[in-house]
Amino acid sequence: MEATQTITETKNTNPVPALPPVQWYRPAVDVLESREGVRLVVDLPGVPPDAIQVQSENVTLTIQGVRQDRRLGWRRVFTLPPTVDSTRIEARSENGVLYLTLPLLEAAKPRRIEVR
Amino acid sequence: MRVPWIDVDSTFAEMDAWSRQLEALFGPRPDGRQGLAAFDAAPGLVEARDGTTRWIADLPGVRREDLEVKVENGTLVLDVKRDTSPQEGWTVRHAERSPFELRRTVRLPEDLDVEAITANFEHGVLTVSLPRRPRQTRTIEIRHS
Repeated sequence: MEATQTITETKNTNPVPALPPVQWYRPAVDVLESREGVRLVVDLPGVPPDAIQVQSENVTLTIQGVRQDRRLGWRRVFTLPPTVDSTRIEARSENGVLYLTLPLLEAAKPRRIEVR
Repeated sequence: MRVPWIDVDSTFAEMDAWSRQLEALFGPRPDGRQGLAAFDAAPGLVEARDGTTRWIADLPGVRREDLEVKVENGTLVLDVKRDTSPQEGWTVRHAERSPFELRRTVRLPEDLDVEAITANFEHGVLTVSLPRRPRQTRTIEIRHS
């Protein structure tokens, strides 16, 4: 899965659910921070990695995934801080949890100024 | 926000008394609803179909090795834990996902086929299938004298 820069329709290789989700739910999210960037940890139980859609447009980041076992979808929209580089989002999914790492823009990284 | 109990569709209308017992196992939740969803953000379901009851629990972020399902003296035992602590170098700024370590047990009904119980864990969802033994009916012939 790759993060896309603009809103595009993500190809889903899984069989398309016969019916659209009955309801969308907001997944639980942890927000982590390091010197390198921001990480979102999102609970998406029941969603296989290739059925997760991550879309970023300007400052908006949308995460969504439809469960294959039930007519239920997870969806949450975030506003990104201007300090992150939304073109270099890294995504990994494991055991029904999505880990999205958004690196800080070089200009926004903490810098140590050497005093001569 | 916690995901509410989802009363899905007629698929689950067949739920029998035992299923309700299984469901009640997790007791009332902080929001007052009944259900298996004792886990964080976990809609739990008990689904009965074709004589098999399926116990479905959302356990996102649980590692396979931190999950154990066993049958002991006619009781189904689930041991599970989840660690949500961040990797080194990362600080939690906002937390909605909570860690847990818990055990759940349920007494299995007599007519359950213990040997045929299966458990599957995929994409953070645990499904335990509990098939019933087919009911054995014997018709007694009534003789005429």
